[in-house]
Amino acid sequence: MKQQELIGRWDIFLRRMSERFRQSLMQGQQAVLDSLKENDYNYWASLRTLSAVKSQIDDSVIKKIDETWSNQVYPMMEADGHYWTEEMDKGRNLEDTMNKELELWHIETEGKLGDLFFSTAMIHLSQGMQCPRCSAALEMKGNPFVSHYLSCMYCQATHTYIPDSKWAMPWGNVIDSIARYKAIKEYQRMTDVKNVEGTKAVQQSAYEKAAEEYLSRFFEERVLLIPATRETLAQDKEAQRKRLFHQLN
Amino acid sequence: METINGVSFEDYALAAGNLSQGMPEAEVLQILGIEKPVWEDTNARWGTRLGELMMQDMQYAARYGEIFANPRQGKFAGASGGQTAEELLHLVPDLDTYQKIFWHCSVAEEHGVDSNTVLREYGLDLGKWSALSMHYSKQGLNTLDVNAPDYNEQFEYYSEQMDRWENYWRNFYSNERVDAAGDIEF
Repeated sequence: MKQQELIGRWDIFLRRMSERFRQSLMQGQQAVLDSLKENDYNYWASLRTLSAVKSQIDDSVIKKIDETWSNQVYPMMEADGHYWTEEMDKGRNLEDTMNKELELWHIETEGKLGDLFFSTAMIHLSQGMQCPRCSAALEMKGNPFVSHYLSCMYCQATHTYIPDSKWAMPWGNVIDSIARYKAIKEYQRMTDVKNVEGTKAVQQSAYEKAAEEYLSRFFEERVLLIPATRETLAQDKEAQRKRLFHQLN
Repeated sequence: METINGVSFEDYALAAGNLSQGMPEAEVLQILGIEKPVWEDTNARWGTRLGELMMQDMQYAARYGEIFANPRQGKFAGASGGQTAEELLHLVPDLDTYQKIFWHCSVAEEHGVDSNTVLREYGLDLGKWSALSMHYSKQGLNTLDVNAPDYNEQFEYYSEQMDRWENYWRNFYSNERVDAAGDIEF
């Protein structure tokens, strides 16, 4: 019963790869999050670690399924009989599922990394500021991650607030990644809707509706993190909308 | 002419280009005649505006790239630092060297290695690399003319170089790969 033996071995291989994939995602995410404290909150370095981990999982797990199929399994099954097309589909379907999960994992990991960085940055940036003229406490108004002018409530002097560039430089990427993670369900609906049945007009309409819901949630979360971003909300949202619809076309 | 906080598109691109080539921010702000909070607002808003302009017309991307790569002009003409692509060619004298560095940066990034670290090995930084990239991009556009009689030959020459250097660096870094499923066999 060579057919049953080959299918059995292929099923076991795919199951083990699936289990290893899940383990790699879990361990990889933890390694990325741990790296932030290890590199003294160098956000860009941890982002590179994330990119490297993702690339390794893709190369050594997902791509291995197709390589194993092409180099070993298919030649054996094809020589044995005509049942190989169904077995090929098992591998391809698993790869598709893994690719989708890897993308969502990326959004989740980048969001958690951003969250870790953001909460630590806020502690450092909100440490007591004093008016250099009268020593009264200066109240932070506006975006703590960008330079801006602050007025002392007591002596009315205006001061230039300049945040430490270590915390300030990544802020745009950081809040975008957190907002993307918080809006991940809306993001999934937006990408899934591309497969909806119907004419191109129906698909386009469904995508635009899902994209609007995603954008609304994304920008809501951004404003919650940094209320000062409400000032440019309409403009930022329009720029993102054009980008998303441009990709669709 | 559109301006944001009094800073034009050209001045924004010049400032960004000079900053990337290591000009101290304080010097850039002095030349533009604005303070840091105003520059940060200007930088953020021009960044968004540039994205909108590029979606309407890709000429803006080309123009921005040209100015960014040659930042010693206009208000910055007399400034210290900053070099043109021609002045930097001794560091990357030909297309083959350019492809070598390009693929080194590209493959290294996949392994978590910062491009700046790679560029420093060649005596470069991001600003110098941007100027050189613009130079070799232009050269590529001029050489790969689909109507030219030697187009196929030139296309193959470019493709061969790209493939050779990509494979070289993938091989170089392959030993550093962590094989997450090396123990699982069919």
